[in-house]
Amino acid sequence: MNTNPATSAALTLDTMRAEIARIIHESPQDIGLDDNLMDWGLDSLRLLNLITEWNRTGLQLDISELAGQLTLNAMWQVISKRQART
Amino acid sequence: MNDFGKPAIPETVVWPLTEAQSGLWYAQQLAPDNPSFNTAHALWIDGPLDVAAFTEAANQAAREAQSLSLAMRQGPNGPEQWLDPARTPWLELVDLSREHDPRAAARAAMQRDMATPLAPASDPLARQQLYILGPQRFAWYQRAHHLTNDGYGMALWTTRVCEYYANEIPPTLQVPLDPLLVVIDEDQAYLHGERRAQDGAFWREAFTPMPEVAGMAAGRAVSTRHAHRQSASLPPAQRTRLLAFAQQLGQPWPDVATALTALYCLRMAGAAQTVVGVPYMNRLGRASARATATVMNVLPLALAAGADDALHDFIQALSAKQLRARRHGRFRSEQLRRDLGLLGGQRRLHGALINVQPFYKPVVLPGVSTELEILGTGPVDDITIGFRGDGSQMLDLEIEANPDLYSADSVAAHLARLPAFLDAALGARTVGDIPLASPAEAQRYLFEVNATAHAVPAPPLTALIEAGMARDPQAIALEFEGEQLSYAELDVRTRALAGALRQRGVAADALVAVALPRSLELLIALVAVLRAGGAYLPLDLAHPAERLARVVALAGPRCALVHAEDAARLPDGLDCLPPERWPAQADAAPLPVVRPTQAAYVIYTSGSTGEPKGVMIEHRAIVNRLEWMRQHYGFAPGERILQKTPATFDVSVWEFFLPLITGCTLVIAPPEAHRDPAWLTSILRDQRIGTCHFVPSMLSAFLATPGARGLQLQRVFCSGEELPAPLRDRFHATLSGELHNLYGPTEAAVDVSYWPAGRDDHAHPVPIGFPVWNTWLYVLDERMRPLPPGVAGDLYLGGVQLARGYLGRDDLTAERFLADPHRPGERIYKTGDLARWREDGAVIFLGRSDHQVKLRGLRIELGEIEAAIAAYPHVVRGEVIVREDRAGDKRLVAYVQPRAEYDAGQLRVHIAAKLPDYMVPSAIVELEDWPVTANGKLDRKALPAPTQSVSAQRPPQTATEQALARLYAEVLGLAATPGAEADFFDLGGDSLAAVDLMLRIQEHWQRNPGLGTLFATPTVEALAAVIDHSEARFDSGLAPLIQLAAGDPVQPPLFVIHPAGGIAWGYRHLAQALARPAQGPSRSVFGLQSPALAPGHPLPHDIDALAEEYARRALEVRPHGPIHLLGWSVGGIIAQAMAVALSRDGHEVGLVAMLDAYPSDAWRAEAEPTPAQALRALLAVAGIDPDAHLDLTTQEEVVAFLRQGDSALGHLPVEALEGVVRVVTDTNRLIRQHHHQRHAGSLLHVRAGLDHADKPQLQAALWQPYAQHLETLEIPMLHAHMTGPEASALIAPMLLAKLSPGAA
Repeated sequence: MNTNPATSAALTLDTMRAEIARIIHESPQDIGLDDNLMDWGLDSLRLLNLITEWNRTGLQLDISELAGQLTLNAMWQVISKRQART
Repeated sequence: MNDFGKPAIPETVVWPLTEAQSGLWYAQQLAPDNPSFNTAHALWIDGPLDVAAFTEAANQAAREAQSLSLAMRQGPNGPEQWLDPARTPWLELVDLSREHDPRAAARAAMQRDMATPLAPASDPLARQQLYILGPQRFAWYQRAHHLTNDGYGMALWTTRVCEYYANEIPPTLQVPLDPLLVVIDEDQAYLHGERRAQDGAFWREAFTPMPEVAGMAAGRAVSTRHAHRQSASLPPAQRTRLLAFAQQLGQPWPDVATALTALYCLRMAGAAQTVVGVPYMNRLGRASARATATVMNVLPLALAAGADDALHDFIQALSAKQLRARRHGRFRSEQLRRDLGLLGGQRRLHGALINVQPFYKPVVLPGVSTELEILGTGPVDDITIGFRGDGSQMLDLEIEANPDLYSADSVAAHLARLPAFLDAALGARTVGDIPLASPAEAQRYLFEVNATAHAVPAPPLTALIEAGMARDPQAIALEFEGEQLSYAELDVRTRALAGALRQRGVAADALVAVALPRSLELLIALVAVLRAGGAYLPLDLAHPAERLARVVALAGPRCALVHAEDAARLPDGLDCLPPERWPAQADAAPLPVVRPTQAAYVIYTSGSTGEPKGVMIEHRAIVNRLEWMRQHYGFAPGERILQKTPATFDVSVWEFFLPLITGCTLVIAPPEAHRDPAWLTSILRDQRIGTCHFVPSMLSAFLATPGARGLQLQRVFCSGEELPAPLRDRFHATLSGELHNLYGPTEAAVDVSYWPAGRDDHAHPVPIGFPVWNTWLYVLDERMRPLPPGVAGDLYLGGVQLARGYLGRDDLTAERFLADPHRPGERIYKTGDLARWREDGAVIFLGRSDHQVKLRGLRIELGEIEAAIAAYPHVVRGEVIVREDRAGDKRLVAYVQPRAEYDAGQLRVHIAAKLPDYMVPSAIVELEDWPVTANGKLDRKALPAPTQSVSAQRPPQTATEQALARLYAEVLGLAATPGAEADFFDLGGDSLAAVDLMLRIQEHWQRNPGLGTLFATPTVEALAAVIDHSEARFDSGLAPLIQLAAGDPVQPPLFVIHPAGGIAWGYRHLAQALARPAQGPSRSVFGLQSPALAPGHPLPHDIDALAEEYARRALEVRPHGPIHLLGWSVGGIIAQAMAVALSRDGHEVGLVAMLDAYPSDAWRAEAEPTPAQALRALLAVAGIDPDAHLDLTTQEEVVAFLRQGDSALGHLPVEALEGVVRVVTDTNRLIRQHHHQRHAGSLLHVRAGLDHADKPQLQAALWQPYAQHLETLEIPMLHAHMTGPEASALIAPMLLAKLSPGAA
């Protein structure tokens, strides 16, 4: 159950980008869609926390699904597929 | 293909090592005996394991985890690797169930395996074993050389086995582990990509200038074969608090844990800044996320914090810094070290490692319970503090530490203290709010180690003395220059004088000045004053009249006991009672009752403001001190104790009174004897003294007298100064007797702590020890909180021995005697000394807090420098101070008392070998006599300023120095003129610049000291001295034997043999590195050069003859071996031939090292070079790529080209250059004709790993037929760079270790 309207909305590429930018203290537009997010200093725990937040909306994402290809585009591919399915 | 669609190990493809592997490869090659690169863990299994299924699972996973099957070798282009199916670590079953203690047997087997160093080129690098311990007990052991796997990879391997065993691989993981190729591809892409350059620039900028790296433990952080390893689980409540705290800060908890642990390391180091290392897994988001391999990197994290900094800001800032660091996290720290010049020696990039592994999950095997035990995670340089677990289910704190730096006890202490620190941090506002000691430590170091309560007889000192008089009245109380006084006589005479004093109004707390030289009368006076109920005030008539007057004015004594002839030295108006007027018989009046709280004596000490301070000690204080000493050391009647300390120094107090309360005989030394060690020696011997006291500096002088040897004393007490450990050892080597180290200020009744410094004491430094009875010692931080062991703090004293205060100076008393914050109602005295606890509850004295030394921002323990000097055998004593002879110019100056074989240069090398550069004194002054204060302590203020200042800041002074300094600046393009002590090569000079400098010197002074001289004396000052010295022998640097660097002359030197060009200058970097090693003995280096460099000296007819000639030259320097040899290229061939010749003639041959040299056989087959090719080889010698100048074909052309250019060779005199050309050509010919003989000893071959792509046959093994034993090594260098600075930094430590196997 999720009662928080802010997080219950489906994720978009832009909101995903904004949230990632927030946790690494950067402006969303600075992060290229094909940038390796590790090269932006994103660490696994920050990512895990974010995924946990997203999963509250019922996304059911596992960090290992993203582990090998950590770019906004690659993440969005996995997430958009998952959202389409649910 | 296996069940999961995974290809089996592919066809043999050979890859280079990754950047991460290369560092480990070379580290292992340089230390082939070091097993610490083995990483392993054990899973202890309880329950019905299906062994067959488990074996199947383990083998499946082994097949997938490709890196575990790696084979490696030295290839033509450096080390390389490939997958060798024969090395796959199939599960080995080992049945130990019949062992008496199967678990112990398994553990022993694992430890044996872990302790076995692996040779990556020949040994399989991974293994796994299942030990069967019983029907339901197993141990699964997984081990991999760090070259093949890191911690993350180990977890991947384990998890994969468990997944197969459970047979329930989740849908998301139905992919096998990735092949090793992805890791290699990723590494190659980064290696050649733009990102690496950007990352490197980021790191170099962030660490320029390099911040101070402060460690928690003193010593050199060089990884050892083994490490301490201890771990503990954090309690659930604490984990929860930590996670909540991080959440509140909005930072991931691992970053917060890292920041707080880094802060802990900083505070424990007592530093304002440091650098910690943070392992970076480097996996997520990378192709290597699902492959076993070694990928982990270490990111340096610099931090600084002041006590008042807000803790939250500190954490936020450090989290942000970690985030930034990760952005550049792929840049190898090994590369950064190279870039920053932090190779070798004590220079390091970071101290402690802080390793948070939040993704660690407990290992789960269905149907059984398991317990994971980490056995080793790779080499540990300093200390690694790890957090393993996700924080919500588990969090284990793990510490691995270098045993050279940390004892097992100190590791256990960190393990207990850090969690307490973390807990305290959660509630702290500022950095300084967090106490460093855990609550348990606070309890221990405030109370447990100070549990000294002891019932001491209540009577005043007078009662104890009177009891002594009554015990055996006829026993001898005092002896002085042949006179004796029995206890009965002492009783009568002191009672009589006390009466006279009473008549003068002496009563409780009234002072009587005593200004008598050592004599029977002195003792009578002191005892009489006490018996009259007064307190004595000792005055030293040698003090300036002004000071005596001041003390008398301040103290206001009722009268003075002084010889009539000396009375004039005391201020007018003081009632003087000379011994002649002392009554012989007492009147009838009874002596007063003395209360324990009455003052017994007042001793004036010098105050920091120059105004003397009178310390008032009560009877109960000194009685505690004397009774403790009597019982603790078991003094018995009849013993003989020497009194030699001036009465104005409080050590004299126990000398005076301990004999009288123990029934011993007090032997009073003649007045001036205490300054004369030889006199003292004869007194000790002739007077059959059992116990005496020495200030350490006097002890040192005493031990140096011939009469001290073999002396037998019962007990010697030291106090008043630090007792250096070497002095303790010298004591026991010189005479027989107990040695005790005592400590205490005048403000606490002589001594408050003790340490038995006996023959079997090896403590270094010697502690001041444990508190005496009814006394407590505190080591507190600036907020008066207790500090844990190992951390320097202010030393405070409490207990019955504290002085009442400073006489008439309540203000000063209030300043130094404070309310005890830990024992309500008590007082403590602030000593102004710095100290730290040892874990056993002994205190180590670190120096005066007001003498805390900080030079150029670096904290310096003078004691540490003094210890380094003390370890040099040819000084009697060494002291170091900071001088500021010119305002703003603070520098370290060492004072040494030399022995016969003393050599200043050698001492400097010795100090430089033990200490970082900034701790090497800028001047060393030789002293024969030490200035001492009236109390016999070293008078630091009276130490002379160095006359010949050699400070690095010292500007050049003489005309020659000034001119020479200008030339240094011109040749080296320096912005400023260097100082007189500046070293040409340290300033960036190389051989080329050296030749240039020589030419300019020639121009300026019409004389040329020669390159050889520059190599030996590279400073402005030293070279100027040579130039000024008109008779100096000048050498061209082309002599057949030149000294390239001067090291410890006692150590056999290293002879290096010229390469093809005949000149040995190229070994200069190596020579400097050997002559100034980071540790261990230094070595002189001599270069053997071709005699044919001189015109008219043809080469001998073959290499053997040449080698014999060189061997003779080496023997002239070192007639009795061992002769150590090293040669690069052709020099290696000659070195081998020299070794053969030397051995044949019965000389001892030591090291024979060859840098990328190959036997003649390898060249014979090749066509003899054309004259043009030989000439072009000359270009290579000059450091120019010959293939870039194919147009140069004649000697004239080559020589002309060289002369136009700026190479060192080009600047040689023309005859010498022609000599070089001749040597190059002729040597080539001789080499081809040479036939090696077998050397009946070892050869060490160092191969240029990055070279010989076109000639892979050039291998060390070619030497096999020509040596009894061949040792081989490879370094990542090109042939041409084998004697360069980088190669030398790699080779020198290894050579030094081989030269002195015990010292490394």
